[in-house]
Amino acid sequence: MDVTPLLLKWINKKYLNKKIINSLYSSFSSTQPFPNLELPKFFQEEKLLQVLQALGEETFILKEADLFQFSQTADLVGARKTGFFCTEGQTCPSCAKNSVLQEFRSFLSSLEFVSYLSTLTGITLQPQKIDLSGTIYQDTDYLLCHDDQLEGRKIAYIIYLSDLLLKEGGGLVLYNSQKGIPTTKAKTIVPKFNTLAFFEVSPRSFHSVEEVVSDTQRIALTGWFY
Amino acid sequence: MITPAYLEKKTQTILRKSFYQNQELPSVQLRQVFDHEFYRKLQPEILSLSYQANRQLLTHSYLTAALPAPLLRLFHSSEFFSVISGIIGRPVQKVDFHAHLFSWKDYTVLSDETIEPAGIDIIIDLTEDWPEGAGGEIIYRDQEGNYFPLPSAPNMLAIVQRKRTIQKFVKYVNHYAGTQKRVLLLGRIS
Repeated sequence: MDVTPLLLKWINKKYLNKKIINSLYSSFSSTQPFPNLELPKFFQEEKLLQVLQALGEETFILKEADLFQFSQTADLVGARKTGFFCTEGQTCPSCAKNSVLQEFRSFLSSLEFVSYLSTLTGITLQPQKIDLSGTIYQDTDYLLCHDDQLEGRKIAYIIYLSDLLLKEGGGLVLYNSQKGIPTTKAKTIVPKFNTLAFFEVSPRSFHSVEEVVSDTQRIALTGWFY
Repeated sequence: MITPAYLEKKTQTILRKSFYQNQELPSVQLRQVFDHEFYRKLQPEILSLSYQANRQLLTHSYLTAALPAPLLRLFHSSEFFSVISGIIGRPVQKVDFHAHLFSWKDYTVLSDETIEPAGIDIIIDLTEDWPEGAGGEIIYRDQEGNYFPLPSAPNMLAIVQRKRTIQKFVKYVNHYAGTQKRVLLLGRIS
């Protein structure tokens, strides 16, 4: 796998080290309760701060159902028209308002990053095909236990853009399971700015987001690779 | 047992009209349905039943208890059934009631595994001092994704006629519930 300028621009170079990549590859498949990784300080911090600022310009809509309650942007669709950037720019209703987000999405869906993620996970992933949206969980928001399975989804990912303490809630809980039924909590990933967490979507990838019980917002970018 | 006004035919006639006004989800709520003396004994008796945890992460979390025989007899009395049948316009022979307690982190979720058949839901709400914004509402949802929350109040009887395409859930109870509990008797006429 080549370390390209694009990867160096966005990713903490520690994670581009061959030994680290090999170690993470081994860890991913063997972590419990199902393949997952939690990578702190993953992105170049300054770039991610720009992304966070850009996300602040997006519109978040409250989503409520039996299974969840949180606020979310529309899918931060990147370019569809020509090249990597939408020709309609800021007037395009389907595109992220901000070019920083468009650029970040282009990076995440790029052949380089998708190949990198494929190397870490051992899973073949399609470039140019990702879902990406911003989410905010505020006081009392939650996402109950489910497995994320929908046709084509292979990797679910979360890029945390705020810090919460364990006691504040908002943690990503991964569950043990038996015969296709989630049982007990196996692991809790506490949100920390610039942590990339991801897991393989499968019939046993049961997870939830704990209710936020403070005024601290859990801000993240989240989606799936296919 | 029942507040006298609800036993009157003219009241039941008015309530029947109100019940069938919403053709999509015929429903009515009877506030202060039990007389004060009966309710004062009923609520703590329901709270003191022997509850078992009923938890399956993907579909539900709550405590549930069977009603003891004396209470079941009361809820199968002609007085109680006369109110329901007077409103829905047909005889009632049986309602299977169970007591449910919903505390912080409890919920039910709509799922293919828990689809309820069509029928008439009978819901008795015995929740006291429920904090605002704590969740725990009973919400009906149709196949188009429209939501119909049921108002909540202590000493309230709700009658809801439901098609199979409309299902209900209890919204996740959040931390503002503290140590309070939603106390519900849930039953159905098939």
